[in-house]
Amino acid sequence: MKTYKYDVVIVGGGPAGLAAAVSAKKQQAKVAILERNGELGGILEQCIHAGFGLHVFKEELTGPEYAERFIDQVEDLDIDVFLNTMVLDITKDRHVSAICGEGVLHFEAGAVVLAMGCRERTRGAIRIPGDRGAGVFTAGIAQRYINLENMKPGTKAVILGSGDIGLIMARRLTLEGIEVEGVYEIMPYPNGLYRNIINCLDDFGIPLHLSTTITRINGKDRVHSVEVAKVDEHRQPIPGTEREIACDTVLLSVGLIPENELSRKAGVALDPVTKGPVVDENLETEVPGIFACGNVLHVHDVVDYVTTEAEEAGEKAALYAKNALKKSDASVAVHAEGPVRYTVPEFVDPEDGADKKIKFRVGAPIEKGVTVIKAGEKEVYREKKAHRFLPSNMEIHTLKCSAIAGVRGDLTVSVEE
Amino acid sequence: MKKIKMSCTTCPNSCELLATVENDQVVAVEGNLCKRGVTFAESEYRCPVRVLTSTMILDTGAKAVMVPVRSAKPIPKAAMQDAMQAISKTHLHHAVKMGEALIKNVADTGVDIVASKTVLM
Ligand SMILES: Cc1cc2nc3c(=O)[nH]c(=O)nc-3n(C[C@H](O)[C@H](O)[C@H](O)COP(=O)(O)OP(=O)(O)OC[C@H]3O[C@@H](n4cnc5c(N)ncnc54)[C@H](O)[C@@H]3O)c2cc1C
Repeated sequence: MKTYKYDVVIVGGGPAGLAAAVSAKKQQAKVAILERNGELGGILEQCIHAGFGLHVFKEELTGPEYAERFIDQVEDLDIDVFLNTMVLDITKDRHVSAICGEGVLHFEAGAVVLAMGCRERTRGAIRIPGDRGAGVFTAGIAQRYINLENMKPGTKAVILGSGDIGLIMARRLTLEGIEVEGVYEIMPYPNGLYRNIINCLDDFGIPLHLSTTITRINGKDRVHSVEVAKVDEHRQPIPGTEREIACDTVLLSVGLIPENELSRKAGVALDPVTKGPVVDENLETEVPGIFACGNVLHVHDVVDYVTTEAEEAGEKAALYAKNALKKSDASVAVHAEGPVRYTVPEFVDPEDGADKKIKFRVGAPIEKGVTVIKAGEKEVYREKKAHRFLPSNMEIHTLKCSAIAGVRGDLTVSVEE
Repeated sequence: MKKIKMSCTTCPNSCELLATVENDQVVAVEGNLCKRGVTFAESEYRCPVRVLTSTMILDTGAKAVMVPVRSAKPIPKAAMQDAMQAISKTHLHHAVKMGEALIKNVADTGVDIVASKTVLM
């Protein structure tokens, strides 16, 4: 068994892993990326549509273009990359074992960065009754088939869920000559970005049916139809509104969940809402020296924010490996309150002099509101301008350290309407 | 009079615009944070343009590899189907570099279809 020693070992070579690697390397750390696929880039390789990089590069790039800019940097900086290498286990003292064509590899890491991305929720996770015929795919799998493997999933599709991947796929299928009958969303509001509703559905005259869901999938060998029905405010199908739609393909775009098997094995605590690790403001998990960033930490809709988050994680991991990461014991918890579903980080240090980046999402749309952060009863942050909050948009706010210096109680983040 | 929903692509703010059209003219725009939203709404009404993305087949002999491609710049929506046809008719037989022009002046739009990725043979 081969053993390697690195300051920073990065698990996953998607945009999070790439940015973390580059930034750790810039801190003079010895860095390795372990990636189970045969190439770097992660999910971006199948996201051939444009819409990446508006924040980081100020232009609209496709997924592969965005990835290639970082892959080039990784090559230029001589970062060690292990492809076709799947990490199987991480221990609390940062021994990482992985399997590749040559057998098992062993890594001793000064610090580990978790960057494994996320996976899609499947039919099982949402329990649609009916037959188990072929033709039901997650939107991401269909994307992979069409864009990377040149396979056509079917001829007429119904899409369940209005997440961005489902919207992007509605356009992609239409352009490839596959009919999309409609997109069905159980919630009374769409889940994807507004831009994608206009450019992927409206542009092609594809209807979006809100407060509607698939109640049954029919077809023993291959899907031949689905039954859809309107739902009430408790998301229960309303009798009498059922409608049968002929189709041979169903795409599910019903949410993403962080890939958390390895995180669990490493013994890091997981947040019940994000399903990703609990982290402090350094993006360090509760296991010292293990950091997390990107979709494995919490699901991001915009890759640019993955990049900035990962750059921070990479830098902090490199500092940790060199024993140079400042840490005090004065950590306070950050809680989500009211319409706020979760926050990242879950802990901050009020005494370290650094400003805090607080990220969160709301559970339901709010037409006009402001973000408010309190320490106990004391208000320490209030957003100036009221705006709309959507579950599909991640909020990022900077809390000045001076505002919370000396506070004892926990912080709570909420939105006031 | 009609109202048209639009998504401004001028900057990351992605303003949700509502344009009012009368006698074939955009007479009012709501939802824009800045003046550029008005300019966008006018051109979006006149001639909506989009970046077109798809894939092309690269025949390596051993197996077919998919090369992601894009229009170098946004092209008129009306030209999209023609451009898609031109893309699916083109097969590649050589390594490509990101940004390399693969179809010049696609569907007479004045815009090239370029590779979104470097693919070596
Ligand atoms: C289908 C889809 C469409 C999207 N569209 C857009 C868009 O239009 N605009 C935008 O800005 N953002 C978009 N996003 C979001 C953006 O792409 C993601 O936020 C970003 O890719 C997340 O990066 P990541 O590195 O965390 O995860 P990923 O890109 O998923 O990378 C994770 C990597 O880890 C590897 N890995 C996992 N487990 C292991 C293991 N055990 N051992 C070794 N390697 C492992 C995987 O193979 C993968 O390469 C989209 C996301 C998806 C899923």
